[in-house]
Amino acid sequence: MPDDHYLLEHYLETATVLWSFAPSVQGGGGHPDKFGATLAGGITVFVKPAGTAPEGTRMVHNEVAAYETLKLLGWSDLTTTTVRRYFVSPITNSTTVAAAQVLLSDVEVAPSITSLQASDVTRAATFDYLIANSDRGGQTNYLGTKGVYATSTTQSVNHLILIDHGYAFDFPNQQPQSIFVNERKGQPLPNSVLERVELFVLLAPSSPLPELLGLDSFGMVVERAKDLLSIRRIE
Amino acid sequence: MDSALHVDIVRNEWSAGLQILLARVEPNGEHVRFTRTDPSAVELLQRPILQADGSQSVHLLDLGPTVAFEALRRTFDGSYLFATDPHTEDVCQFRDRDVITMRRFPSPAPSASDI
Repeated sequence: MPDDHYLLEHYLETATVLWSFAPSVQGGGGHPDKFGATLAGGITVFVKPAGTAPEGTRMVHNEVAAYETLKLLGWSDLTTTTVRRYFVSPITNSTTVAAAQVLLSDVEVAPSITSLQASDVTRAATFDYLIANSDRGGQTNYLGTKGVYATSTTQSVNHLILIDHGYAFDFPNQQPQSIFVNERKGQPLPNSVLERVELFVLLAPSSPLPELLGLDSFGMVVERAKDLLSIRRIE
Repeated sequence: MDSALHVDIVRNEWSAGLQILLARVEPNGEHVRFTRTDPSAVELLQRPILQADGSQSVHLLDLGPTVAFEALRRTFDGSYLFATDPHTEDVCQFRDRDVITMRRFPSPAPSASDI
């Protein structure tokens, strides 16, 4: 049965590319030839192609798997819709499978953790632990939507958006690294979070995750979820 | 370390198709210094960063140029914010400007079989 993201995912997977654009200065992350693409209908996506690197396809699958994991946890508000599809790269002129992710505008890159909602930090820590994220130790790979939630004291806080999940899911030769895990390590997880993890364990086997990750990596995600349910905190 | 080398900290403003220079990091004797720094990047550059083994936090300004440049590459490696490889002024695309427009490519016209 299609979930409530199905229509947007289907559009992103099938819409015609009107034009694409690429950075003049490249760098950053494991997809060296990333580019943007505007689709018929007006949505612009950020495209991370697999390219020819041996780990490229795995990274594309990881990007999509991270989105699917957040959906299963009921936390899709922590990222933007991400699908797998083919593109003709404007940089290499070759057809490649890629992860395509909806772009957000007016975002702050890596806002201070203190400007984020505490519940977002807890959810991000749980998610990063589950996926064994090894690429959130630096000052990047998360965004804040500027001042979405005004509080009664007129302060505003950022809503957290998590990005760049190629180096996750027990990626070879990478150690888990997440500033959010570090922030919440050893603290008891609230029941609201544990209930989501429990639901994840139930739903994940019939989700796209086993196909995206392969059975070994998928099994390790489920094992970590069961560990969380057992010890009720992130270690 | 070649004192003529520098690293640019660049923000990709994907939705606008722009690349924005947030700061330049260049050797300054035994350490490094920030120049052409956008006010929005000051706090970011002053945060402690993890060492290569992930064990300890250090500040960029306390590091020598070679170690600082390596730390920049490791720390700023995202899709929206990244550090360039070290390069010289003559090949720097931000030499005379702080904003670069991304290159735009038209999509190939659909073939008859697509219509």
